Amino acid sequence: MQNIENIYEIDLSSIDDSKMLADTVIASLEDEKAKNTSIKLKLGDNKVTQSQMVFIRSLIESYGSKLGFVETSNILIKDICLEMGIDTTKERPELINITSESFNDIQNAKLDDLREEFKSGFEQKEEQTQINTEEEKPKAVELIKDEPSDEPEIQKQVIGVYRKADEKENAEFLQDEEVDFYAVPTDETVVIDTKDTIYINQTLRNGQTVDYDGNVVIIGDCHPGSEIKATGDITVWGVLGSIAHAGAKGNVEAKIRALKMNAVQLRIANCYSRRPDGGNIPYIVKSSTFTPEEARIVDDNIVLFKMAQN
Amino acid sequence: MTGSVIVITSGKGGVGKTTTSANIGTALAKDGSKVVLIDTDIGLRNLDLLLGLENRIVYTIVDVVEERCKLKQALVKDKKNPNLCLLAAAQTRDKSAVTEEQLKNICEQLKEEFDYILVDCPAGIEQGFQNAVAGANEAIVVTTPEMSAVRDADRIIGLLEAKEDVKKYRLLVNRVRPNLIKTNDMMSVDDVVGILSAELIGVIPEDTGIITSTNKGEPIVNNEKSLAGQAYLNVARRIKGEEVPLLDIDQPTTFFGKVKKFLSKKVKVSK
Repeated sequence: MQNIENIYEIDLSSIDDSKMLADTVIASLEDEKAKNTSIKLKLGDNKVTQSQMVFIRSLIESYGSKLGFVETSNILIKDICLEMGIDTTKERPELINITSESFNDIQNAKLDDLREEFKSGFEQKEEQTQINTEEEKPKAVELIKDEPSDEPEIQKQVIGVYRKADEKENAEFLQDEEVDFYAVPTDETVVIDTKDTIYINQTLRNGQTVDYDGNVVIIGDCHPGSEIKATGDITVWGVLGSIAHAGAKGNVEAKIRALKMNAVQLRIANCYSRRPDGGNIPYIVKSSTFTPEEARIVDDNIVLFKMAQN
Repeated sequence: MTGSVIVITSGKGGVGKTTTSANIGTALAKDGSKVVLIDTDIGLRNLDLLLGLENRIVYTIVDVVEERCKLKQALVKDKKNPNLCLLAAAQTRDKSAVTEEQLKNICEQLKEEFDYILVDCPAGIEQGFQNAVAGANEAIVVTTPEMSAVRDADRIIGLLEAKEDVKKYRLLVNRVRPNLIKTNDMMSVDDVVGILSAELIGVIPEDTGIITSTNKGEPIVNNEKSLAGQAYLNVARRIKGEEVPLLDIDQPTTFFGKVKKFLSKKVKVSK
C-alpha cells in the first residue's frame, strides 16, 4: 500500500474471499495517511457487486476520504463504476509494482550498459575512420541512427506496461490490416458480386412484395401469394412458397436459392417455370429437414440443383 | 380505466367472425368484465341478429359519427347481461360513411368506460377493414382449416404486422372437425399454426348448435352443454390472461361413441 501525494491506494487484488474485502478496506482506512485523500481501490480479479461497491464507497466517505479510482480487470465492474461516476483506470499492474527506487535502478543500469556500448561503438568508429574515411562515413551515420532506436528500448523496459498496452493495440490494429492483406486479389480470389444486396429479416406474407434493383436475401419464409422481384440473385433462408423473379432486367446468370423450394413459379430473366401439378400437397408441410436448392438457367430452362455438400 | 381494443378479423367471409365476436363478448361479460361490441360491417350488419338485439336498435355508429346522437345513447344493452353493450352498424349506408379517425376516436372514448372493446371486422381488406383496425391494440385472426381461409388469414396478418398500434395478434381456428383431421381430409390445427406461424388463442369445433343459436339470437356460450360454447368460454379466459389448456374437441357425439371412449379410457388406465 502506497501513499503517493494525495492518493492512497488500497490493494484488494490479493484477497480471494469477497467477504474479507470490507474488512480489509476498514483496516486500511484506519491508517492516518488514508484520511482526507483520494482512495485508489485496486480490485484485481475480484468480483464486486454494485451494492458492495456502494457500501465500500460509503465506508470510505465515512472516513472523510473519497473514492477516486477503481482499478479492475473485470469489464462488468468497470461498467458499475462508470454508472456510479467513479473513474476506472486501465490495468497497469506492473507499473505499480515497480517502486520509484527500482525504477531508477533499472534505468541507471540500462543507461550504464548503453553508455559502455556507445563508447565502444564510438571507439570502433574512430578506429575505422582512421583507416578509411570515405567508406566509414555511412557507418557512422548508421550508428547514430541506432541511438534513438536504442533509447525507446530503455523506456520499454522501464515503463513496460505502457509499452505493452501500446503493443496490444498495435497488435489489434495489425490484425485488421492482416485481413485487408488477405483481401488482396490472388489467383484463387472469388469474384465478388458488386450489386447491392437488401436483407429482409421477416416472413413475407400473402400480398407482400419485394422489388429491388440488386440481390435480395430473405431471412424467413415466403408464404404463397407474396412476390419477390430482383435484378440480381434471390436467396431465401427459409421456405420459398411464393413467386420469385431473379434477374428481372434480363440477367441470365441470376440464381434463386432456398432452404426449401416450394415456389408457385420461378422466373429467371425471361424464362419461367411452375410447380408441377398434382403434388398433392396443397400447403407447405413444415419439416425439420431441409434440402437447400438452387435454380439457375441451363440451356434456356430453369433447372433446380441440390446444394448438398459433396 | 383503459380497456383493450380487440379487433376480430379474418379476411375471408363466412369463417365465423361475427359468431366469434358475439360469443367472446358474451363470455367476457358473463365473467364480470364490461364489454362493448362494435359492428363495423356497415351495410351488412349481423351482430345484432346474433345477440337478438335487432329490435332495440335506435341509433347506429353512423348516427354517432354524424353527431345525431351521443355515443352513450347509441349503445344497446344486452337482454340478459347489463355488462354487455352493442354499438350497431347502419344498414342503409356503406363502409365509406365512417373514417378511420372517427372510429379511432370512438374506441378512445369507449376505452375509458369498458374493459374490452371488441370490433367485429367486415370481410375483405378495403375501407371496412382499415376502419375496424384503426383503433385496435390487439387482433384475433379467425380462420378455418381450409386453404383459402388460411391464405386470407396470412394476408391479414401481413397487414396487421404493418400496423404499429396492433401490438399482438392471435389465431383462432374455427369449425374444426376432428373426424376429418383423423382421416387426413382436413388440415390439422398444427398445420394451420405452422403455416401462419402465429400464436394460437383457441380452437372451436364445428357445432350444429351454432346455426340454431344464430337463428334464435342467443349466443352459444349460454348453452353449457355445447362444446363450441365451452371453447369460446376458454378463449375469453385466455383473453383475460389466464392459462387454459386447449379443449379436447375430439369428443364423441353419439351414445355408442361415448361408451367406446369411456371403455378405451378404462383400458388405458388399467395398462
